[in-house]
Amino acid sequence: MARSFVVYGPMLVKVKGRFGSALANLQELGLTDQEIRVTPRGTYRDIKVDDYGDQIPAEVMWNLADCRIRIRLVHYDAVILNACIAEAFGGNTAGVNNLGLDGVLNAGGTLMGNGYPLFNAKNKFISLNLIPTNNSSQKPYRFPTTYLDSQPLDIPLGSERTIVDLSFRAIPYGSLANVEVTSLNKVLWDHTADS
Amino acid sequence: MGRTYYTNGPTMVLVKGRADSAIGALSQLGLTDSPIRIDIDYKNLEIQVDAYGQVPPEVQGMGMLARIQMTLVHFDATVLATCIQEANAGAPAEGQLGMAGQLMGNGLPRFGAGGANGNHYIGLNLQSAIGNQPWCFLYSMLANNPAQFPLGAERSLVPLTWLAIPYSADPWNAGQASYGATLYSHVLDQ
Repeated sequence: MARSFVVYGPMLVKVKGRFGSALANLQELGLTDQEIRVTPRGTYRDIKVDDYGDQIPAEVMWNLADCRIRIRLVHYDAVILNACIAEAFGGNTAGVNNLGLDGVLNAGGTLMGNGYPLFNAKNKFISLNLIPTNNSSQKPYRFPTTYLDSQPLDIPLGSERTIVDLSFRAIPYGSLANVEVTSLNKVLWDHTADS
Repeated sequence: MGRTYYTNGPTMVLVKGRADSAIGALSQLGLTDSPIRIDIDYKNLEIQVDAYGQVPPEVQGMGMLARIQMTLVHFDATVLATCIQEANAGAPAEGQLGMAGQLMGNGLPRFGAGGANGNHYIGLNLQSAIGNQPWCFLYSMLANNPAQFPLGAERSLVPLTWLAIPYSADPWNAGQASYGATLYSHVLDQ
């Protein structure tokens, strides 16, 4: 692929979550007032060797990555947003459908994935989809296991239109599903949107 | 269409607004004392590349809006008052305010009824008296600030500035986004 200016164009944010919740089917979350920022963060650990001194490592160990997706929603579905917040707060246990329970916390210590596969009724992670327009030559982004990490989660209330400033965190989650937990080939993101 | 001198001729200003307003039907606003001026404001974003110094090698198209300026001399004051009410996002009466923060379109199609929660954009129509192409700005609102109303022995000349935007009830438009959104056309409202 040759060099060019890369323009993703307008992006629609869609989410899909666990079976039996308000996010069981792929839902439109909304449109943004400015660009969506995707910030992968790789982590590494230096391996020091005395011969190299104490400042520079002789080798570096790769320790996986997470990713932050900063979004400012301006034209959005408040019901779906509330459902995402409810999932981020551990997923409400009261009732199968978590509409209107965005301020109700689950018990402290609740696991988000619980070892279950994505979209299982007990897995609270949300699959975050960033969809370009029909005219775009770019592919979508999908972060299969994300949650609202409240860094930030700002919901201004007033006369002006509310722009919700929020951040999703994507981690390379893997379900247990009769296998050991291993980090090999875990997906942080791909370019195939959910359906 | 070949080259020719273009003369629009005298222009009648007509407006049509929210179905449950006083201008729910196409209404004559009036005639002007001088040419109506249409300013189409193209928005572009330059892409800077260090290799090109201070001039862009590429530019992105970023939509457009329009401002229409006119000075009314022979006009219907009641229709004008309704246009002012709608510019205040559906104020209940002339001289009163609408709700602070009220949306103008409210997610409704053109002329959508609903009182204060209706669609307050006005279809601004400019009709040529000698049959040349009309102009119709589908989603416009009075936007001159301040508005001026001279009162005295002489006839009042009321300067107006309209702002026309490419309103959309759904900015995503089934994946088309702003592609094909209409700012103006040459077909008058009925």
